[in-house]
Amino acid sequence: MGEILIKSIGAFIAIYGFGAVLHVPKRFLVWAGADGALGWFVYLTAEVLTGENMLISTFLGAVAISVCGHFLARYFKTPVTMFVIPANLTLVPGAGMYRIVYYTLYSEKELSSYYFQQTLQAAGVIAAAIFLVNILLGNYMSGAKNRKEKKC
Amino acid sequence: MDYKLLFDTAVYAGELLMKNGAETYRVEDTMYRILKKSNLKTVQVLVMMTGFVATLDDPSIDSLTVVRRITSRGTNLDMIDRVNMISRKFCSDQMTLEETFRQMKTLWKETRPYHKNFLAMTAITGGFAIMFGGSVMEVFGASVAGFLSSIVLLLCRRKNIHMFLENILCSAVLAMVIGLFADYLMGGADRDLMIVSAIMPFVPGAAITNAVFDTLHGDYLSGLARAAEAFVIAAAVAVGIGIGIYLI
Repeated sequence: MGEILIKSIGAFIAIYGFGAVLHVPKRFLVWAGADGALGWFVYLTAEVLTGENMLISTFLGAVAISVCGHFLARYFKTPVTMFVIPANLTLVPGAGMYRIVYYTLYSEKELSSYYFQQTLQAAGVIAAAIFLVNILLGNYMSGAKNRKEKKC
Repeated sequence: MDYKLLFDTAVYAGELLMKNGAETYRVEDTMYRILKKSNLKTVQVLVMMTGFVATLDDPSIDSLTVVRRITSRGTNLDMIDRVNMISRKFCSDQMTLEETFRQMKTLWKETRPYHKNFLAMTAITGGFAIMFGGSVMEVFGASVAGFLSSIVLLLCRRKNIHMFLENILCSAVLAMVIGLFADYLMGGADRDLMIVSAIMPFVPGAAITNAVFDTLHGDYLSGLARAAEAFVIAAAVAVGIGIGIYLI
């Protein structure tokens, strides 16, 4: 448990820095970092609970990030991407993409296709999570918005 | 209403959003909403990752059409937020068209000097090393590599080096730094963990997330284009790491 908390704090620091690089406005930086930390916390916890099932953990982490991002975006009246792009860096298989190309360069076909598969799965799972949350929350929220300000 | 001015405002907004890395659907949506304020019959906006076309037509006016090619793309979420705020105010009638146009133009003209983000880069790489469960030494190694690569990045931006080469140079430097660290300064440090943490700022995370967003909104062309962009960036990083490891 303690280890998970320390790793989540690491995620917070990383996403805070990444937010600064992507020019997230200062008032949102802490929230973006918190969103990332939450996602990583959920991911790690799910990993322990499901016995290292990478796909389910990634899915749950991405759902947590998206839900949190949606509510933050609604609260601050700003695009969701403000929180979700930095925060998703914790889960997005960037390292996997690097590994695919790296092992291809060294003609290690098995490793490269293993990582290819893993990266595609992780990206697909994240996409599914974002999709699901967007449909469930996005529709509900834009419905509420339309009722308030019909014109725009 | 001055349709020409409205059209220019929408084009400014669209171009600003695209250059700063907004999703395709957000650009389309923002431009559409601004143009819709004219209450004209035909409003069409087609946005693709590399440019956009917008047209405004009505029996009462000559039709207006504009094509813009977008060549440079970065990620600046602050700009997206500000454009979003301006267009939100305009669309809910809190701001006149002239005022909106003026504000868009100031945003447009604003020079954006390259941000010196040494500290942020150090925080990213160090933070990721903690995230992946690295030891104190590994976190330190990753942070140092991140810091040095941010200096290389700054030099590359100053010299206007092409993005592909920039990624190769930065990742080659960080691979060399980490290779030196792992081989000479501390035995037993996990080189793979440090490299994976240190490349995180360069890895195409934002491109992948945007690709997903675009695909989900039905912008398949832009989604695929962004996925291709992600692969190109990843290839540059991998080549750089390969060179770095080879040199050490």
